Amino acid sequence: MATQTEVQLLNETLFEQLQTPGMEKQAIDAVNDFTRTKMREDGFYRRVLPPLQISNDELDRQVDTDKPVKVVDKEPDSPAAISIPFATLPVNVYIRGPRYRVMFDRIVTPRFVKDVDELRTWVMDIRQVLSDNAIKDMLAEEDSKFIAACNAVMIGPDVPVPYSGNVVQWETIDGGITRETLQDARKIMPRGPSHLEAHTVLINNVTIKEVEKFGRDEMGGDFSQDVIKNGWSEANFMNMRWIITIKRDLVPDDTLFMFADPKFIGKSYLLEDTTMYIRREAYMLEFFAYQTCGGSIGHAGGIARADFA
Amino acid sequence: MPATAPSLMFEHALSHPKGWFEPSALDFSAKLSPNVTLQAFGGRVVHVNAAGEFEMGLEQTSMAIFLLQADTDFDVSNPGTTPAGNFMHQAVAPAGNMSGLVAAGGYELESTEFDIAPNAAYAPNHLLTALASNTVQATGGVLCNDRAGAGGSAGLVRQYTENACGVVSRGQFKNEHNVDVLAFWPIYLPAAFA
Repeated sequence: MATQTEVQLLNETLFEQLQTPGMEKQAIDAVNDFTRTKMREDGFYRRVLPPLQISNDELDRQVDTDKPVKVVDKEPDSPAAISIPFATLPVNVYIRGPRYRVMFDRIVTPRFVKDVDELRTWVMDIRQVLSDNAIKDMLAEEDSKFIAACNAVMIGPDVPVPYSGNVVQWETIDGGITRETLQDARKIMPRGPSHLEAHTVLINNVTIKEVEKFGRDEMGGDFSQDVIKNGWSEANFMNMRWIITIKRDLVPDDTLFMFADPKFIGKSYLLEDTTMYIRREAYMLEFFAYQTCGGSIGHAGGIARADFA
Repeated sequence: MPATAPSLMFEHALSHPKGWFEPSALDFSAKLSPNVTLQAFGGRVVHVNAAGEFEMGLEQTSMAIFLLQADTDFDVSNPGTTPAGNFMHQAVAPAGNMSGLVAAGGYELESTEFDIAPNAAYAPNHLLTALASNTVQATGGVLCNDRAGAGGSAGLVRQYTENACGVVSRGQFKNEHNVDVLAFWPIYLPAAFA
């Protein structure tokens, strides 16, 4: 962690860059590097479905709009192989495959405005001052859109999903969070027609405490002792990667979201990565962050949810 | 059935010859209300309902907002279920947010969404209104100088009697794409409302 002197030096350097003609880009780059790193680390959407940077020539042009679109191919279904006697020919299947369009919109923060002379008295890292609120706002928007899409694709609790083999993907499991009910939750996804295994778990920071209660006989030897001493720090457990979020409004208590490997979920694209716009006019500083991104869940079977009752 | 021809991107649109874009320009973003069943083209008039969503046209003391996008634009929605009910995908983004220019802002605008054959030809300084209808494609949020809205023949819009959201500036003409547009200045002039 930087000392107060180092932070002040950093702030002065940033101010100098913002005030020196031709150096604004360096100042903005410094903030952008900081912001983008934080965006990658803090949001769960990006960890479940890592975004791919897409360039202009990868976009698919459309006749009726100049808005960016990316067309994604889905793996076509194929009928099962059959056993036949000799002197019999196979049936013809003309190959057709589904596609879907990923469209893009922009996430933008409010425009923050500040008199630079009031910023001079701040002893914390100005890059952090500039980016922290922006990052929190943008991640909240990304994550809430993703969870809304997940819930929509699973339709509702205990409702069979017709486009995914008519199996329930959002299941209420009685008995609280135990070793047995966690294993029951893990069964939800493989029961679907794609037989996928859960690869990542998303759980909130309150519900994880229920898992931490597992004893030696439930969790496995010294791991239980370690968790009770040091808290949950295990990234992999039950052959799944665990992501813990504080966003309890999106991931409710006693709920587990499970995700297959990203390639079985869909696509997430970044057309323009998080960018901080900073402008100084006389003594007024204004800044806001924006990004252009798009994403779709292309395969409903790659998501499951368990609500423990 | 033959395929449906796509639309041209300038057929239903709002243009802003004066006053936009400025970084602090007065625009507003919201989702379209589920009460709206017509296609909310760019250039149509909406207002914000009690739930903070857009509904078509003007009512009571509502502030007019001129849509910049249609609800079907690719940066607004990306439906993933086919007409036959089959699943294609579930969009994470776009999230259904639309935006528009607020009538209280300082602009001159051109909209394709107006009655192109009004009872009285558009003349500078005519007041414009837009009917509140979420279901009638021909009139909902469509600009007109007739007090009965698009298709009406009840006489010109009167100040303080009908809701007005614009004043005709350069009037009706064909733009560079050979599409009829109406040029006007947006205003906020609600009818007297008890």
